[in-house]
Amino acid sequence: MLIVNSLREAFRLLLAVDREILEIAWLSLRVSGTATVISVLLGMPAGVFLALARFPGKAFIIGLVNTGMGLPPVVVGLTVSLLFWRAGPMGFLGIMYTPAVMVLAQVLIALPIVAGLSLAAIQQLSPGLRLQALSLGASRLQTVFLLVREARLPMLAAIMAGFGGVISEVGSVMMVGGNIKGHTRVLTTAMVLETRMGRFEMALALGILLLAMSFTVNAILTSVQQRGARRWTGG
Amino acid sequence: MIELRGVVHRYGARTVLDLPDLEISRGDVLGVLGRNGSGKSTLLRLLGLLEKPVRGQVFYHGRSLEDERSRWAQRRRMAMVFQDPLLFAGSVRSNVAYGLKVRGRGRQEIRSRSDHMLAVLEIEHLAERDAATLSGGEAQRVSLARALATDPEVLFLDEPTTNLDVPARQSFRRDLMGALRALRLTAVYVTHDPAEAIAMCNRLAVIAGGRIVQDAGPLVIWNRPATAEVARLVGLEAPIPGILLGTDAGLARVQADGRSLTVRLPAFPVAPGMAVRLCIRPEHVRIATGPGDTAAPAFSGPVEHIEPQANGVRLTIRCGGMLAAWLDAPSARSLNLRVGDLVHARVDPDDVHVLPEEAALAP
Repeated sequence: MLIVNSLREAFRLLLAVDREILEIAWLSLRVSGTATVISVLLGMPAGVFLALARFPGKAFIIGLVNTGMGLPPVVVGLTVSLLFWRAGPMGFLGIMYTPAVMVLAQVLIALPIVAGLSLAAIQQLSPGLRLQALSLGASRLQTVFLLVREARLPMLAAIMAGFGGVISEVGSVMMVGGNIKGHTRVLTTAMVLETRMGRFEMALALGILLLAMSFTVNAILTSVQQRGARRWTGG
Repeated sequence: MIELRGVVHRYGARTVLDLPDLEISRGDVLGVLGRNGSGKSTLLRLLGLLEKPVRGQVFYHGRSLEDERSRWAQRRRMAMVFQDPLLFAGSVRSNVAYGLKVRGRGRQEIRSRSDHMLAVLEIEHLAERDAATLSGGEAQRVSLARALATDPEVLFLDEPTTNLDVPARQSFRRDLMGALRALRLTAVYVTHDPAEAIAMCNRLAVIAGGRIVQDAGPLVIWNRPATAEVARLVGLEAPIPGILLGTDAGLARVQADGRSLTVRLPAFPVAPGMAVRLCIRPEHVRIATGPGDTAAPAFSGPVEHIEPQANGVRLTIRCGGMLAAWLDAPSARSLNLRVGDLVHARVDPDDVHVLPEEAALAP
């Protein structure tokens, strides 16, 4: 009965377009979207570089990136808190408990995911493609663009994995954002709070919204991705 | 046009290529023949400026290309076709246009040159097809069109027919030969198939263990291999042992299989008593079942093995060593040979190629 009632109330809240819920959802999208964009801008070139460059210690760095792909959000939250706490080395910036530091924490979570999957995306291509592009007169940069284009399907999967990793995490944003109402409260932290308070209908409404947002973003990326994947089905 | 001087290339501690000197002139269609792992693809990558040798220099038009910028500029004057077609995602037309796009050519020029190359290789009907949906033969023709569209002065081909079935291979070879002639291209053609190398090239370099062991005209290599390795590569698997008896007026006498044979005088210094090996192409051997059927049979012995082939049979005859002979289908039918039958073989002196024993036994 509790579940049915909670679900009914959750849909009522969503249909009523509750202003507080919308603000929370918008902040979630801003924080995780910004973190994903930054992670893509930094992580994709880093992954491509790691895949194509030869330098001493490369295997060690790839090992670090792969480890980072499974970084626990609470460890990231703790590390960022220690750095940006008022008495911490970066405390002078005064960004603790702000969306800015939440973005930073989520970048640290998404960056290794995007970089690691981009690295794997390039490495799964035939090594001959690089030589073929160079032999047809492509510059190094043109060759890199070609390889990224050839790996665009797994590259898009890297973006989806990065976004999925941060939109759903709660540990780091709770620790560095503080879940301050109207300021740093995002969907996941709000869900934890509402559940603790026994307001299951509100928690469920937030959960449904989180799933819907995540699905919409991934659906857009998937449609782009599958346009290039038609060759497998002949469509 | 292209020169390699003192080139040595290694992967780790392993030396894969050691070429004191190699020159390729304008108009050469140089075949590079060798077994897998002999260094022929590495040679192609060095010539194509895709790798830098550990030691030595590669010269184009007398210029040594050291910095990346000049190497890139030279790369834009050549193109390469690999064993795999390595087509890029997109349409056939976009693939053929790639080399022109990266050169920043105008849309009109890209379109007209791509269309021209599609027409030359008779694949206009594939222009809008997704490259991923092509058959192996079609994909390799697109790969060739993509390379030729850049109007290269040198074309490098790395075993481009290996993955093709027989009809696709034949039509690809025909189109490639047509294009090479029509465009008067300089080309380097890497292959492990001697028949293909002979059909395609006007010069052949045989590579073994990273070294060029013979560099000559294709028919010279086919009929007069310099070493046992080259002989094996061109299908002469077991040269027959013999002893040189003496020389006389451009000919030599050799004792083999208990008989004295007259052969063409070898190109290397000879002395009576010298151990030699005789290389004889199977198609140069004439076979009879009775000694009266042929004048002065060179060899006699039982048939050891009969291998039916598409248009005849290949016999192996035990006679001191193993002599391979080729019979066309009508001859095979009329002789109706079985394993163990005694046969007599006759060979013209000019068709017996003599190798010194040490060259014949060298790995």
